[in-house]
Amino acid sequence: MSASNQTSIKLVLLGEAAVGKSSLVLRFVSNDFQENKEPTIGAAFLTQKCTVNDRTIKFEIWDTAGQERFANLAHLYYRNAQAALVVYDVTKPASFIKARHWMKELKEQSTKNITIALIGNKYDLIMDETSGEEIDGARKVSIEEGKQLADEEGAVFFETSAKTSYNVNEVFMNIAETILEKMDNAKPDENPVAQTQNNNRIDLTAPSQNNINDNGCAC
Amino acid sequence: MDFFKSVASLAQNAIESINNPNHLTPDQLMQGFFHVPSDEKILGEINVDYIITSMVLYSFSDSIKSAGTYLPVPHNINSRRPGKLTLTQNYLLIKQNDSTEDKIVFHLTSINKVQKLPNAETLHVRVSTTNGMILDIMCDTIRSKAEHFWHTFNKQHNLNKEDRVKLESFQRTLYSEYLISKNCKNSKLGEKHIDIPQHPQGGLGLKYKFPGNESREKEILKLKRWFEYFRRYGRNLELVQNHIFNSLLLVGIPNRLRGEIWETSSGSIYYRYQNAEEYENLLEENKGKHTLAIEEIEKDLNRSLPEYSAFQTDEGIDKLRRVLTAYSWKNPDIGYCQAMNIVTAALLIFMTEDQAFWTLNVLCDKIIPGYYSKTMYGVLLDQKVFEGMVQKTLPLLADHFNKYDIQLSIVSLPWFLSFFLNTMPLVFAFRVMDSFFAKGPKTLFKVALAIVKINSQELLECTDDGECIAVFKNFFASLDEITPEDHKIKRKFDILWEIAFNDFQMIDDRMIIKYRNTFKNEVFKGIDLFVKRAEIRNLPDTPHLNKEQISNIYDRYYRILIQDSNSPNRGNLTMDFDSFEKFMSEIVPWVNMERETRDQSSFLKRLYKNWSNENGEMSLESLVVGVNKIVNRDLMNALSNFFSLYDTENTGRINKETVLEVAEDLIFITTPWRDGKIFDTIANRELEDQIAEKIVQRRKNLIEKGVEVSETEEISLPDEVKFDEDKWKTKQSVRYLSASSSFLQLAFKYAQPYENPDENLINLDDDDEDLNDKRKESITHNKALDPTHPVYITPSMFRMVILANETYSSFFENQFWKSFDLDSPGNITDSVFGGMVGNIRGMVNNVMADGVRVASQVKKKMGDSRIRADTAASSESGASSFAQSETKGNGIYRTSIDSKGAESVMTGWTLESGALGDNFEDHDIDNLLVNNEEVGLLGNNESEPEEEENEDDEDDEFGNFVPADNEKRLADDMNELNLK
Repeated sequence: MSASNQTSIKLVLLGEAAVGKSSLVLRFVSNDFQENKEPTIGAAFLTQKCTVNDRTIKFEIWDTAGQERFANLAHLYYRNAQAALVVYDVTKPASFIKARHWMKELKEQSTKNITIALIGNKYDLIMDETSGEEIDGARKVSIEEGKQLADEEGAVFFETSAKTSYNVNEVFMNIAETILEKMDNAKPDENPVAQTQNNNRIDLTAPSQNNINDNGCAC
Repeated sequence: MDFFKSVASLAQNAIESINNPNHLTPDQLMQGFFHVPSDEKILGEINVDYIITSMVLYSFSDSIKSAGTYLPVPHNINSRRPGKLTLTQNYLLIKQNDSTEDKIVFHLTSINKVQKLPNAETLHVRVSTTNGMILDIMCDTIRSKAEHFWHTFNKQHNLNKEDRVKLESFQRTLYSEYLISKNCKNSKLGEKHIDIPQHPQGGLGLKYKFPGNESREKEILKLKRWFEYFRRYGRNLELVQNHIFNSLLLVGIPNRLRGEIWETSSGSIYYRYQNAEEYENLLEENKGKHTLAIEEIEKDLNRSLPEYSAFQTDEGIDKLRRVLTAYSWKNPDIGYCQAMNIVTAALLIFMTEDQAFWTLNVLCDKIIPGYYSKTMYGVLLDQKVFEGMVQKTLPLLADHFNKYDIQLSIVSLPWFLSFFLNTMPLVFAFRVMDSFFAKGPKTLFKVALAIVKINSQELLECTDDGECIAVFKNFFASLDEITPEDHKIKRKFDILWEIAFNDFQMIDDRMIIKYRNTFKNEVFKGIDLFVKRAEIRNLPDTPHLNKEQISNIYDRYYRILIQDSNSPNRGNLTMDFDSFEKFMSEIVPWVNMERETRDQSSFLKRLYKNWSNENGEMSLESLVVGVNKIVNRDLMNALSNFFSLYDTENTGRINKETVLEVAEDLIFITTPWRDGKIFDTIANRELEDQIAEKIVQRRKNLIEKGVEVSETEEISLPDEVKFDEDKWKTKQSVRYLSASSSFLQLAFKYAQPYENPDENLINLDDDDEDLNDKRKESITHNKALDPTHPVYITPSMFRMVILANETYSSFFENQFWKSFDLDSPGNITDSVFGGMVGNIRGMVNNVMADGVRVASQVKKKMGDSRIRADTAASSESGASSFAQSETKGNGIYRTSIDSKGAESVMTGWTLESGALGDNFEDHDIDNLLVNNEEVGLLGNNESEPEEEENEDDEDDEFGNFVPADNEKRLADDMNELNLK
């Protein structure tokens, strides 16, 4: 019954253009990095399976376009999402402001129970490779600012580098663990809540339904 | 948030730019069909029969000579076709009657000979072009009309003749001319051509190779076909487009010619010809300027078709930067949208910068308007259209998608935005573009539908978006694969192509327009809502406004902007003063657009200036922040904010002249109350009291008659009671007049002289004692009104002065902020204003409806009617709304004094101590409010009370009615006053 242990997590990436959303996904999905990655038009979709606590997690990742005018479309992708990565560039203060807006929008518009991670990417740009210390003045958004914003919105906070792969897997693992925990907590006694959620929308990512599907396939 | 600000006129623009044939003018229809520039106007139009010929075509009729075998041999060369001949400033155009595609576009410059041929029946004209095209035109219309047409033609033709030199140098930039020049040198057919010894400039492909591995033979074969087409039917600025042209497009354009054919079929070549220097000039003029678009472009330069080698070099990147930047200058409303980088990169493989620039222009503005706009409404709308078409043509699949909540549009959006450039292998995407530039978006719909159809089996097994995407991904990756079909070997792409143009023939412009109209409102509504949500979310915190009020302000703001915008094509992003006045007139009763007074405009200008942002502009943000400030319900804050309207230099002081203005403005903003259009709290309480009194009276009468009266008896107004509306109005009006007069008097009483106007404040710290002495002296002499001694008042003094007057203080406490009607989205009506009552009947009804208060009054009065004056000694609460305010105070006394005072006011502002003295002795401690006002007034006429004493009085008075949380502030104010 290994298939019954598989859980799908729909995850969406949001953030300003060129902060490295697609690169984070590429690093996570293919363990690869491209210096000049084409901008995402509309959105890209990728999947990746991994194992957390003996359970197989299938990430269904919507990687959205970052330019402001595409923000109009983002709700198409974060509807029904269980997790969101709001990404900014630690060397670009403007991208942090945009991250704040995304956090607000998610709070207002997305699923109530959504798990959010705030990601300060391009950590490699502020690190001196040889000394292993931060380059003076390279960092434009402090860790404290990031942590504070994450705390305010009940999100977890990471600084990452898609280029060096620093913290990238950790982000996804943390998300997976948090969501598994939420699911386990929601399962036993809070049936009414779970039921109404299921009735409201055809949620293909809900674990119970998935299990049935997977069982069907496995047979 | 520049982005959000520019959507003010979004809805209007959008509706106009989506081609709605019912709204298009004949000129626009003509431009749309022939792809000529949008400033071309129809100067003449006649029905004709025409014969197309050229030296080369003619040679076919002479069966000996043949001019090429790569295209089908033309038959019925001399056949007459019916059509419509159109003349514009720069073009001679023919549309064949029974065809939706056959057309002729001759630029007037290229016409070098016009002959009238002898013909008894019709006017017969032969038009020859520089490159040997011959057009015989038989005018199928009354002779005079035809002659008039050709007369106009001659005039326009002469105007264009001067451009002959320009034409030749332009032709030298074209590969078609080069092809002819190289291959017709020794032609015996007598074709005219110009000598072009050097390969004209072209796209990056010439240097970095064209993508794909098209064989040399195939490329040459294709070139030969086009070469023949050019010889027979013309090229670039003098071109006949027929079914052969269209089939040449469908089989794919040879790489070397692609750029020119794209610009010819899209019509961008006409723009480039007519605006020779513009591209370079735009770049030159805007050199060094910085915009958001440029920042966005820079981010994407390194990631535009990065797999193509030229875009890994500075040469390629620089070209891309220049074209995208120039376009962002040319059309700042669009600026730059991701996907344009990919499209432009593709253009630059086949085109020079100049060509790519104009093609990008035509693409964004004509072919797919709204796709790259700031809201992307064009592409969003077309996704709805696409889903609608899938529903219509592939209903089974559409049902399946619905069932599993699969949104095809999120999958197809990138297809439409970048014409498959980032989904299909480039060579195939270029094929789509070959057709797309000539035929417009219907090509995209046909190809997209074919993609869905080909994959329908797999798609029917998908249960979510992700699986669908995987199906398409696999399909796109396999386009080059060969599959045997119908005994032929075909690539998957060729099958796709056939399905697109055979199975989806019914997809035409009319169908697209019909579907666009169907989904238009839905899409715009969604965008409007999104934009509104985002913009409101980005406003600063405004604690005194709730979400709905902000939403109403937003709606009203943009409605007025759109109404007042002189140029609907450009979103007027900030509100000018006139619009602001209109806005205010819609939300407050004291601004009236029809009765514009000097006071009105001076006060509103003050507000406008105070609220505007650092650029002196009234944006949505400054408006919301301003309104938030002015509707502050905390009395002390409200007064400080009001003061700051006048303290423009932020000195904490306003001088005598400004105090006079404050007084005038107070008179102005209280106009509806003075006019008796709105009754204030004081009037309400008084009425309440009187009603209670009447009820008490009636009950007493009943008791005297021996009738049992229950305590719980319903409170109702005795029938015989009548209220004289005019009397109430006059009373309130007089009260407000009196308030304004006492405001001035008190203000100048407390006003401080500028110690030393010449030396100003610099020495203030040095000789404190001295100054204090001087101040005291000034106060005792009250030189406020002496022009030689300038005076000022501080915020605390201002608050004191307002609080000292019951009418004004109650006005600020619960009338002024309430006069802003932010809860209703529509226009205000005269009678009911934000829940405020404008007539006595309504006021009576309100009082009666809230029976509790009257009942408590009645109870109190009944309890001890004899000593009613002694009850409720200190009971004024500081509740901020009259709906909540508990009125236990003795209103009758207060009012009687008020009206007496008012009488005195009416008799010419003479306030004699005697006139007030009776009341002064008569009323008790809870009437200090009025008492103090009088003391102040008395003080000016009579012997002034000792300072100390006066202050004691004030202490008591304020202790009575200032809300508890303001006590500290007030104490501070008092301290400030003590210092002086």
